[in-house]
Amino acid sequence: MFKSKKFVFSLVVMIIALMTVAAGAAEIPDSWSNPDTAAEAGITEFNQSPVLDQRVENGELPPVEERLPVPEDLQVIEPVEEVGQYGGKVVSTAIGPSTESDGTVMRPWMFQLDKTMANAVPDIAKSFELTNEAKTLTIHLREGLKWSDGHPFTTEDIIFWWEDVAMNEEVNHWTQWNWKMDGVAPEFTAIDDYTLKVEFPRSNPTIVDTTLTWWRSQQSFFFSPKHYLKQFHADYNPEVKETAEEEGFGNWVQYFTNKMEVGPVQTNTELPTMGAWVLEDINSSRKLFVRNPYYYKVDSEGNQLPYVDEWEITIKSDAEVAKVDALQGNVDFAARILSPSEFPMYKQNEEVGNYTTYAYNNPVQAQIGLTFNVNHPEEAKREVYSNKKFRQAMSVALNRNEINEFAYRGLAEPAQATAKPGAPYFKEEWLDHYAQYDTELAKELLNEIGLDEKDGEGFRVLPNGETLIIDLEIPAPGSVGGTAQLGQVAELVKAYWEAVGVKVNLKTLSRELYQQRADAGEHDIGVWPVNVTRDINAFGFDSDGTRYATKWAQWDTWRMWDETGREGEEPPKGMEPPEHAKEQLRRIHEYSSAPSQEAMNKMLGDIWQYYMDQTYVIGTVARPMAPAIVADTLHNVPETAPYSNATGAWQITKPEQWFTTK
Amino acid sequence: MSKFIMHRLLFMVVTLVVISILSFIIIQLPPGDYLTSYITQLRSMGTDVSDEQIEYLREQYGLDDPIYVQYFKWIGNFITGDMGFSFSWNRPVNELVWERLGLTLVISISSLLFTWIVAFPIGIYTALRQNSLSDYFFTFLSFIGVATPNFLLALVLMYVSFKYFGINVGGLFSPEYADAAWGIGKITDLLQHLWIPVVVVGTAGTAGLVRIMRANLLDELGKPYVTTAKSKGIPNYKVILKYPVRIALNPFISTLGWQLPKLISGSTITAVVLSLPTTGPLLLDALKSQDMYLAGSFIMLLSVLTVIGTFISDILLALVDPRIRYV
Amino acid sequence: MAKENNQNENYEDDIYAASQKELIWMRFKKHKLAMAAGIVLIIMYALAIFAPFFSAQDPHQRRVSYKEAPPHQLHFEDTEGNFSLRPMIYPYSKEIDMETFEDIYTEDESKPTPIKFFVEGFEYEVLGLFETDIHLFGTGDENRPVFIFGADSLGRDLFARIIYGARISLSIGLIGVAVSLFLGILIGGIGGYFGGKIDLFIQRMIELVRSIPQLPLWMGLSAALPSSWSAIQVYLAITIILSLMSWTSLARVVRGRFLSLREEEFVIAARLMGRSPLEIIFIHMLPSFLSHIIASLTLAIPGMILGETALSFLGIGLQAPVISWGVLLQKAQNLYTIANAPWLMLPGLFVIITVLAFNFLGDGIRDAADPYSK
Repeated sequence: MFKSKKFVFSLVVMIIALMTVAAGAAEIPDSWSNPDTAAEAGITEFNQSPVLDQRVENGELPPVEERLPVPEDLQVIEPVEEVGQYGGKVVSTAIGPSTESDGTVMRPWMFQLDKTMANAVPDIAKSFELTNEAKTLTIHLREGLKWSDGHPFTTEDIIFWWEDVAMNEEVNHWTQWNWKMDGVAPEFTAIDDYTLKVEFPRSNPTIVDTTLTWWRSQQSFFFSPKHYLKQFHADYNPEVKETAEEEGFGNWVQYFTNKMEVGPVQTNTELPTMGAWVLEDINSSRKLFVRNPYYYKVDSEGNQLPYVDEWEITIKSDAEVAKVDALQGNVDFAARILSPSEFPMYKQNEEVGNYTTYAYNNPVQAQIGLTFNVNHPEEAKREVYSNKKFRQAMSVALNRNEINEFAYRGLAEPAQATAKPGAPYFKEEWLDHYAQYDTELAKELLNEIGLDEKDGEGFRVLPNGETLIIDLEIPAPGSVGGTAQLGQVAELVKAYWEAVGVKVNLKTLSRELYQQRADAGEHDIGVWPVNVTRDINAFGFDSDGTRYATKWAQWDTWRMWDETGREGEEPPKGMEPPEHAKEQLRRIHEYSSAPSQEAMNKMLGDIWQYYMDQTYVIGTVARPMAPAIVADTLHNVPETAPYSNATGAWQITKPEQWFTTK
Repeated sequence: MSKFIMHRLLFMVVTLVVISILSFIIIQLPPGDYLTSYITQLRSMGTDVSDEQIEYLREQYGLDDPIYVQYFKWIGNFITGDMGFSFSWNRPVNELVWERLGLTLVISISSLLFTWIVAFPIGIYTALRQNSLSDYFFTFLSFIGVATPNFLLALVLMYVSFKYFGINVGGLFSPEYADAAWGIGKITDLLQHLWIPVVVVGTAGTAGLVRIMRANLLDELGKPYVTTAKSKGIPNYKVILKYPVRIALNPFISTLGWQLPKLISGSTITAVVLSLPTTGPLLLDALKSQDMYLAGSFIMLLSVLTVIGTFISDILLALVDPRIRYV
Repeated sequence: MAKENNQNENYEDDIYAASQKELIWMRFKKHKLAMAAGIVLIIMYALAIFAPFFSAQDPHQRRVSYKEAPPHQLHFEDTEGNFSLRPMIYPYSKEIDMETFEDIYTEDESKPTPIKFFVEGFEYEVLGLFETDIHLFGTGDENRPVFIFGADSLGRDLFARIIYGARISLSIGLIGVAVSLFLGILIGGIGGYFGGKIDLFIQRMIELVRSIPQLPLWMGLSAALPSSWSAIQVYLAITIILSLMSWTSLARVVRGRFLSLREEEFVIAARLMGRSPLEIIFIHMLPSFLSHIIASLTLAIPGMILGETALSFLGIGLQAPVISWGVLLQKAQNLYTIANAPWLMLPGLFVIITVLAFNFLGDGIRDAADPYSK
């Protein structure tokens, strides 16, 4: 039964794929994984948007050749369908000030993920080398890169960020957590304007993947416009301390970080950026971005990107209103506000709204992952939760096919939460690991571990005589992280577990409350999407959101503090983990400084095998379809793509080469 | 009279102080603070935040000060007109509130007018035709408005308007008119979008007014002077309109003051469903994300208006009804 | 003519000889709408109390093959044109439209299924006293459920869920007004009875409470509820939160009445006889406008019912897996439902009917009880 449902799903995916191929599908070009430079492509003449012609004529802007990086360093982006036409405005909608464009489309990075999500493709950077056993990272920037106000982008901006922001005592808490290795910070040196050298205290082969591609580095900026920001920094401009107070800020650091914008939401219209569009106007109902005349890419015919002149985001307070906009065709694209269970409604309105519904795929490993807190403060529960047979029993008690049908309309893949299929260390059998629906097996396992006695209502009791009650807490729909789907799945999970005799108390809380309890290690079970696109942090003992073994992680931190000379304040001691967990902690420390990719893959294989054996994370369904609405007048949007926050949302489809025929 | 006013003013101040403390407490009640909410958002977007960062931010935002210190800082600023800084929007609260105030007032006043225009005639009519079929029918009709949950009605109307008229009435303007200059086109567009919230909010209020109007009028109509007037041969409509209706209107005039806070907060739920750029959704979001200053200052604003409104009502009542003069 | 006169005379006699209660009842009967409302409410509460009996399926049971299925059509004629008084349904067969992934339900005419009455179905307890498995109607076949209101997104019987939900929604109203009643009478009574400075203080306090903005208070209090509380505890807490705001109107009415009644002779007499203030309040003064209080309460109940739905909508009230009208409505609160599964909005209809009924009932009682109106 299980196998046949997977078959149906794959069939469905194939049908969709065939349909799109038959339609003359526009796919993400392979060249995006390794774009040519203008010099390589033999492009010698460059064009710009007519909108800028006036400004060049009256001397406001230098001519286009001088605004772009030098041809040897200039990236050429092959359009998905065809070379586009300049002009027009792209409209989208968002709920609240943080949108699906802000931190992604508008903030390019040193490196970007390609469509396989396995490679870091240099973007702002031109290339990099990892030498000296991965202890030295050398990054080459593109010569001629400029900020959106024309000022050159050089290693100065990176050093400024490192020395005056990340390493500055007063400002420093924003960014450097990813950079310190065992408490020691790397050294940054600017070899010249376009070459940067970073030296780490030990091997760091994953540094590019984990830090310099978008999704991990939200808080870790790596570069900031020095020429603009230095006026707000007390080391360069002591008067800013007064100005800050005048402007109503508590101190200059607050003022500075407000101007620098360390969060994902863009609100400062004066801040120079590297994105294709620059924020020009913002109020509580709308954000308007306009073309960046210094954007650093061209298309295959030498036209400076982007094609589109303006990018507008209307801010609505309710998802349903935003959807009406999408269904009516008032927006050019939408994805974040959509969900697979409503797919029929999107298809039904395609005529009316003049759009097409694309079936993108959310690469998440488990849309909803359940993790029992093995460090639960109550001893009786802790005994049970830390027994892997209990977790395995609870895993097979779930009817994933039903979950798929009910909550995702069959458009996801019932599977166990595991590593990314396609990774070199991945094993196919992990997807099925205790993922079958077998209530008999569940009951057997539960009986085996001593939960065979039942109370008056038929629910299993703990060895101390009390009924075992799992507090399943989820965020309420409407709060952050809360969705109608989550509520449905939670109700289903409760039903399945109670069917094998384990009582579940389902509670909806505010997410903040859940977070607090999880952080304190007081929760029973974590509920969170498990996103493991590139590394294993999401499965770690104290991973965000799920936090199933925070006390073990604390013990590890304490051990390190103890073994490295007991410097500074003593961290909490946590709980000493069993041998197998200690082994895992050792492996995790070691793999990130493996001398070679093969060695690293071997270690990762072991790490994953341990996680699967222990079944800490119980997955439900994985890789659901992510519907996306794209207006018929919007072109060069690929018809299939991975889509999730973790992969940079729309960034992976390169909106800079979209064009509109409105 | 002046003693009365002094008395009330003093009490107003006391009320406001108590409410400010209460509001502050209410906002702080949910566990955590703005930061926890912000961090949760970040985490849901796949970003990690270290414990160090959290502590630092907490200090920066002044969220690690003891509660009473935070309170005094806030209330001190509020009194001087500085409503504080909104964390989620990254802008001063004053800006955010004033931005939305205009449209909020437009909707609220329109709804109020709608309610009156609908309720008064129905109230008068049903009083005159008491216990008749038409009395039942109209009473029934006006009550449906109050009985239907606002959020459902708003959504259904929005859907109907989208499906059958091809208009998206969410928000107050269609995209084309959003930043256009004011002109006939923009006004028509506004009206097109305005009718649903006005109807939804207005119908909720009609029933109450109808009932009160009807009861008051019935009271008056039973009085001797009406019979006298009728017997003197004055036409019926004049009899009714000249005095009874006017007296029946008294309670409305005196309760006008209480409308003030409602006008400003707009009907929150309807506004949320229809995504109107009014102050209601702003407050709701602020409360959910514990955006301390935005929520707190806003609540204070509403309370100040409520208190002023009550005060005005009391004065009006005292002026109008000589029976109510108390020390 | 004579007969009419006679009737009139009888009527006058009746009024003359009737007790206060009978008087009120007679006036009430004249108000047709209120009578109808009363009957509707009795039916509602009966449905709620005996919900399991009236449900054909267990409201918690989910069926994948009936996910968001439309209401079953009742047929009185089978495919060959034979008529029968006993209604019949056809079970659904489900297909998925490969383009839109819509679920398409068609009646399977090869399986006519008659509706039986007093049929065996899922087991339940009656008022906690005894167990039975008899239901008013059903098919008697587990695999052929009958959904007269259709099914929700987990394939559960909407009709059953609505009447089970009535238990919570209707009782919240009652409990809530009970709390308001207590607070209102106590506080309003004290103010009205003692007058003077005490009254002034009470008045100010009432105004203070009224000035507190409702929404923030609800949100703050709901969010502060400890997570360890069970659903029942949360439910009670929410009820109390809702009633915290509504007692003020009752208090003002009570206070007003007391102020005027204070000077009445029977009260003065009671005082002179040495009765304690509380005795006077509850034994002597209260009954004289008890009917008014009842009217006010009846009119306050709809506010609580609507309040519950509003709280659920905002995400701070009752949530699944509790079944209440507010929770059911919250699930229907999206475009997709209105477009593709509109029957899920039926709980709204029940809310409207109940609220209307309470309003008319309250009006009727008040009109009937007020000795000063026509």
